[in-house]
Amino acid sequence: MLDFQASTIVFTVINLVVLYLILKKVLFGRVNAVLEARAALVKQEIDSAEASSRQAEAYKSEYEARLTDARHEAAKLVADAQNRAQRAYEAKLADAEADVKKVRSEAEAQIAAERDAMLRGARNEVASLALLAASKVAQASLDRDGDRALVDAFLSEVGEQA
Amino acid sequence: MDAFQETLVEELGNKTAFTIPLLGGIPVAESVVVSWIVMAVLVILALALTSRLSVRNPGKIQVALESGVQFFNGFLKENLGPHWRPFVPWLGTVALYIALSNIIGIFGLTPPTKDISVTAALALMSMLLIYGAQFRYNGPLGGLKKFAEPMPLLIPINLMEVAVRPLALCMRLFGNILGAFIIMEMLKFVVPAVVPAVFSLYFDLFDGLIQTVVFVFLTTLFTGEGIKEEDSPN
Repeated sequence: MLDFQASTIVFTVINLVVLYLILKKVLFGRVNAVLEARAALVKQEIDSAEASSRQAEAYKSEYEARLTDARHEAAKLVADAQNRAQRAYEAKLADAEADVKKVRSEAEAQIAAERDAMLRGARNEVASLALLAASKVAQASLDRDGDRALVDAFLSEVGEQA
Repeated sequence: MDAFQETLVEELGNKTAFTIPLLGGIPVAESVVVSWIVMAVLVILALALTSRLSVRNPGKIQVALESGVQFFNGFLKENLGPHWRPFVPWLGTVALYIALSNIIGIFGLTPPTKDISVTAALALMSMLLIYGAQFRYNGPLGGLKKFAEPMPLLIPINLMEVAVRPLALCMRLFGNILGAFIIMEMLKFVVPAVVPAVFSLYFDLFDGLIQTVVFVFLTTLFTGEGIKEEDSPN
């Protein structure tokens, strides 16, 4: 019962060492390798997730900056367009006013010229009529002093009016 | 009653399975042959269970296997400190070997750990591990200094422990398994059916696993004592 058997001790030591060598390679080596690989994988996944989140953050801020820029740009464009439209409107208005003035002055000048021409024509007509009337009167009785004075007075009066 | 006595005495001895006809005959004990069976089962199981390990999609068996190994890693990390890694395969092998040896009585074989020579070999290896680690991680001088801890007064006791520790490990395992074996043999003799099966659950399975834990735990604890740095937080 309590007999130590040298051969059994030696065999058991050999058995244990052999089993150790096999299990070290097959069981513990493989399982621990997988555990380490998984730990490395998890670490790598976390790292990459953090990296992509950082990148997303960067993209977001860049996008926001661009959006703000674009808004400014759009506002500027609208303001420019309004300015330009205002200027164009004012220029057109000024042109139109100038045109109106020009047309009116031309019309006034024409009216004045026509009135002058008409007046001149009328005066000539009146003068010739007066001369005719006067010559008729003179044919009849221009021998008297009084008649002559009348004709003169008439003529001067007409001349004053023309 | 005589027949009972005879059977018991016969069961208590260590049978020789066969003898190698070399150097005047090397006896190969039954426990060694059963050890080979235990080893074969362990190696086949290990090969079968670790043949398709996957890092990304572990199956149920792999998860169980990994949790077991991880639990053992954590246990050693806690008790051995920062140098735990190289001890995993040896202590794990010893644990698996003792566990399967202890409970192999369930399958009708004689537990190899019932043979004191087997437990002596196990204890011898534990001694080598404990003191080998003490000198490996502290250097020759530091290893010697460890015998004077926690105080120089304890040097004789610490030196005695070199022999006492493996002896205690050896005897504890042997005695427990032998005791369980004797009780089971007596039970089988008195009540051949059903009742031994129930008691086998306790004496073969429970006691066998407890003794495995005790052996590995004590070996780990002693090794840890020799290599742990006192002021290290690990």
